[in-house]
Amino acid sequence: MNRTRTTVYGVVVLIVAFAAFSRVSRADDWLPIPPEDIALKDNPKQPGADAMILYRQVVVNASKASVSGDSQEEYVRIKVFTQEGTKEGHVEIAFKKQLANVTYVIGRTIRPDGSIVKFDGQVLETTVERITGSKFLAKTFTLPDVQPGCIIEYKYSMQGQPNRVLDWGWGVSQPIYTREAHFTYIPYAGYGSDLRPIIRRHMLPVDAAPQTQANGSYVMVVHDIPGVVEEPLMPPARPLEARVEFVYQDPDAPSATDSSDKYWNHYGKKWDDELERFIDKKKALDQALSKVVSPGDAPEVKLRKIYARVQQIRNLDVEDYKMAKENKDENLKPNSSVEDVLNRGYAHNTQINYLFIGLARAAGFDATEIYIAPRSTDLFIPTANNVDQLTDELAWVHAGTQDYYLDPAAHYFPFGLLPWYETATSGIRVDKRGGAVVKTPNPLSSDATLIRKADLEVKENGDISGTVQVDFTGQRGALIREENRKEDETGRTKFFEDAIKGWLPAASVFEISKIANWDNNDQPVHVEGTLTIPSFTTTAQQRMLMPLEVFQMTQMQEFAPEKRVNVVYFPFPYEEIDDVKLRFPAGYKVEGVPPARNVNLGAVSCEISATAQGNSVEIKRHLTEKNLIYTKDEYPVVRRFFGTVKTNDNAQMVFENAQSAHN
Amino acid sequence: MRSLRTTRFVALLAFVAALHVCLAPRAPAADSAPDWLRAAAQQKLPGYDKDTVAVILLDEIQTTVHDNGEIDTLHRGAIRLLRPEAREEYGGKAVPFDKDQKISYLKVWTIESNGHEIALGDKDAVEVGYLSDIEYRDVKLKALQFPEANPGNVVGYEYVRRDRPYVFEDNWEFQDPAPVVTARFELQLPPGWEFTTSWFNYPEQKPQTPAPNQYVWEIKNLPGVEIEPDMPTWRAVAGWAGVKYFPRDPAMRAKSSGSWRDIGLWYDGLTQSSRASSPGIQQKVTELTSGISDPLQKMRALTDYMQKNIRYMAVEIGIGGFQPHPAPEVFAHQFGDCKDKATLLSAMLHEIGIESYYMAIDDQRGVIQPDYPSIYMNHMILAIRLPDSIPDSDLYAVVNDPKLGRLLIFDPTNERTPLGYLPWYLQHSFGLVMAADGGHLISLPLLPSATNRLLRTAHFSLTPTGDLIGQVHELEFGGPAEQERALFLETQPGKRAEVFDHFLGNFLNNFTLTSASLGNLDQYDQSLTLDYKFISPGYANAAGDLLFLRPRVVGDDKGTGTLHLFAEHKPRKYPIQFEEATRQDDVFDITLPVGYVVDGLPKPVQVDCDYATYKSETRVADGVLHYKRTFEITGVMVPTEDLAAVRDFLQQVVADQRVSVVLRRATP
Repeated sequence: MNRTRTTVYGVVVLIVAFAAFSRVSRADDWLPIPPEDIALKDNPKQPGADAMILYRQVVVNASKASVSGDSQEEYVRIKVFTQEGTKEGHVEIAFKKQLANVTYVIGRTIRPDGSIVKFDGQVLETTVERITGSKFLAKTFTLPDVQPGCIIEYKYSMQGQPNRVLDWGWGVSQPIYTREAHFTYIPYAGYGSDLRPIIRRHMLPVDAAPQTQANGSYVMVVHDIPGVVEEPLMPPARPLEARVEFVYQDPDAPSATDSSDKYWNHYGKKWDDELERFIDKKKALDQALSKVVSPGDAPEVKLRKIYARVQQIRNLDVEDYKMAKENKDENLKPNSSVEDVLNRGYAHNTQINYLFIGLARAAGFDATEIYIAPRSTDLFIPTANNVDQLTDELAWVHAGTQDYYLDPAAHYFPFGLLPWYETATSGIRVDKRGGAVVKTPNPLSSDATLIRKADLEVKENGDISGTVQVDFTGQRGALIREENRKEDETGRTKFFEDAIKGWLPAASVFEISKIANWDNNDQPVHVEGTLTIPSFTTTAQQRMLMPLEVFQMTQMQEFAPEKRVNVVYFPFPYEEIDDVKLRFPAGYKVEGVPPARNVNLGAVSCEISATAQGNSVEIKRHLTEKNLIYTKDEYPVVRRFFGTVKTNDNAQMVFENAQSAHN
Repeated sequence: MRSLRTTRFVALLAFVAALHVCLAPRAPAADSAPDWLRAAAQQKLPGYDKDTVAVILLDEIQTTVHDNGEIDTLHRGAIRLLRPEAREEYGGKAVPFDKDQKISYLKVWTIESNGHEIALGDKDAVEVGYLSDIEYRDVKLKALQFPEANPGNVVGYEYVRRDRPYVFEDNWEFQDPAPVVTARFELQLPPGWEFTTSWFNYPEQKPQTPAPNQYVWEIKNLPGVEIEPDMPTWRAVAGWAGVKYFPRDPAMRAKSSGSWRDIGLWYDGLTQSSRASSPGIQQKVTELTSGISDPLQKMRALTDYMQKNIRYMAVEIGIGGFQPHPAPEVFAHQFGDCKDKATLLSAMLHEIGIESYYMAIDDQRGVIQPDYPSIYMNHMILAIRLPDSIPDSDLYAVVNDPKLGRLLIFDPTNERTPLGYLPWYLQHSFGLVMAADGGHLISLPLLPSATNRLLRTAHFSLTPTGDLIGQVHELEFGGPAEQERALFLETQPGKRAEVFDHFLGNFLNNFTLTSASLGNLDQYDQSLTLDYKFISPGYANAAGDLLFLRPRVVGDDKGTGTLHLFAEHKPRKYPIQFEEATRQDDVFDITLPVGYVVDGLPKPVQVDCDYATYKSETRVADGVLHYKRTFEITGVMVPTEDLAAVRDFLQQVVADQRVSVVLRRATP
């Protein structure tokens, strides 16, 4: 389960200090504007853009952090191409009142004809949030006369409070395209100035890197940084963003510039010590184990029983946030060992996994903890020597002849099933010697299957109605249970009705009659109900036509655009298995059903077939998607695949009213 | 204009709801639940529908008006949470305030089902401001989450807010989506003050007077007003009372809106110097109108400029919720909110000798009640006095006012509705036109369906294998053009082909768009045109010697879209409101493949209900199939008793649109 680790020394602030170093000019002396920028009609490298950053300069100064505070100055020049792009003319600069202040803002608009309008409006201050002791504010201003074709530019500076040395970063990627950007970082140079920042680069162009200057500062120039484009089925945003981090690291920790082995061994030993301390209660573990397993149990049976026992522990991390008053009333004391967990019956994620590892070891298995980068937020790059990447954890056990990757703290995930974001990723497995890089298993499509069965009757008026049964297996069932854990029966019913109606034509009515296995994580969530779809068939003289597939595809929305910027990223592979039986009104007979079709690209496949007998027909369909990632080049192929599937789904069956036909 | 207090804060409340997870643990307030909350919690309740998420046990407002015009409002509430979903709507209390208002205190309590009580107070509260790309407002929220907001528990809140209002007017909205057991409004006036009440969607209630100048209204057992899609606005269906106060001191009476005339006078005073011009405005008007002699074209030049150059950006601080910025300031910044835009346009029109008046409206039909003069409307537009020299035959937005003559209604905030046309949200409603001698309400008409047209003509050819090749031309004006323009203009030019793709994907399983173009996208006073060509392999289904061809190849399906309103288990309680009257025609010609003959044609269909009509016809001549279809909405408000008839009508429409023509291969 997720957890947060941090090595940041303080709170990130934005501030100013200058003098001998590079800085953004404060005065109203703007850079010259090339006529070709005024004439620019579009971004040649990203045609159709609403706006682009022509130039950006960021100066971060931490040199006098202990005296006057850190600072940041920023200068941004933006070309507006479209009406939508005029929104760039409204600027918000957020800061925390106790730690920083925006000390000046200037701006101007250069109209398409080259005339200039200075910003002389108000810079307004808005309270974003205020809680006791903290006030988060934003300075907002709106540049004048912003219209398509104009250029806008502004500068601002933020000054922080003294006596803080902070981690810093250059956010290189912006929501819109950046043509050119200059960055300067002036490191801390006061008391304890031997403290030097570690530099981490992410997703930068190959020719871009911070360069050390004679005065100790770092500079970098980048060109042509694409904006982050939002699309369906996006990979996690953070690995896509170009950025540079300056990190002041714990002096007692290994340096990020050390070898990765040394770096991860240090943390591996540290985390192993924590684990060993917590589970060092052999007697308590043996006692607990004896109540759970039998000596003659096979290794996996033992492990399953331990898993089930540990999942009975109340997980405090999945509960709603509670105020101190509520926790105090409940008298929840912190656990310091597995014995506390066993006695009290509650624990946090890590403690639950520790208990599982302790019991597994007591049963004679090798077991330890693995810290991973969850796929939902980040990718693990071991050579980056960045412990902050590892925000999630699970347990590893070797039992019998098999390795098991399990997360008993993931309450809704049964034995053998990891949450999708913990699969196909990597992390550090800890032991006494240190830490080793390991990869977690790939997910299987059969671990997330949607099984739909329907028994439907077609009416003379074209309505169809009958019963539908749906099973949400594995990953699907676990995620639904987790998402709806706070709902009551009425809320769950509404969820499933809405979900199932999402596969059906508008105006369909679906009424749930049964939800089964809700509390049995080992079984699929099973839903039954009655369905009515008005006017589903079409008529043509004495015939009825209807598509093979009653359940409509949802994938086409994600693959509607012809072009794709990002890779396609499925959280997990999946399958859809449908079996629909239809009975037509008496007197109708099959005039034609489409032939069976099978589209198989290996990673994705779908077969659909219809078998007719008398006035009945049975349609079977099986769609499998096995991959997690498709490249941009593969996108058209996958898009075409789903288009073909849709065509095959919508191929029409024809039924003829035999009596009318002969009249 | 300053918006209704209960509506604009929806987004803020959602923001606050998201905030609670960020709260650091804090020390509890020492006090336990008050007696009024305990009493409310002990009430025996009747059985409610299983869907009911919560019950409002008590909703009490105590309004104390001071002689200096300040008002203290004590608001307390008790809610029994019945279902987990209640946390979304009733999991906390957020109180709005601005620079003219002060919250003396805010407290919340929870009484758990086991009787245990938890209290939180001011020091636990969060204050949240309002951040928006297009608005700056000085309004904030003070908010607290109820601890242990779980089913079975009773939560309660109490706060006092001091206000120095710009108008002496209050709206008591006593109904809620949840049932209300007791709603109470208590008014304490200073000696010599008077009040009036007006009741809406609920019978008038007489107050009790337990003490001099003290008035108490209490209503019991109000049903919940469940939200249904496409229902009329809340204020048009839920019970509420408008309360106005009239001061003893005549000098303060300007703050009381006794009549529409009073409101007009008050606003005229507030905006007296706003529309003064400046050399910059004069120069711009001269520049825009030079060489134009036709006064209507001059007006168009100014309204075009306003729509395309003055951005919407609202800066509302204090009285700025009502009072516009001066025209020269709006002109200099080139941005403003609705009343700023109306102000600048009015100043510019004045420069060409055309007078105009502020017109306050609400963009939700049913909010403005002719019998209840109120300043609480959410939008400002202009009523332009049309000179005698300008004919109005092509201007749909002209209203004949007995007092001011022909008024051309124009919304300068709307970036895409041209001069002469009335956007849908202004139709079938009322507007308050305000002049120096006061204000009066005028009725804004529902424009006929012919003013909101979509004409789609297409030529297709069908191959023997069922492939369809064709080109479509769409001509749109009025509402359809405005919506389509918004869609395309908000899409990057490079991505506009995707809009066509998405549109065709609604009807065609398999297709390739081969070309697409738009006409008059930026010429808002011209008809918008869309031209596109596509190939759809296998469009017609083959079965042996037969081909099944659905003649309604493309086109929005308003029938199916509206049918979803009837897809709930429970019958609707409230009327359906359409946006506007509209007419949509399809005229398609499909050249049939050589060697095929028609085996059967659908019969012509004509169906009607009181609010819409539909007809279709398919015929074949010289190897070409001719399909015509007309769908027309003529009335925008369907009362509950007519819903079944409308559903039947729509089902017939949907069924007819799915009908196929059968073609048979005549030659082997």
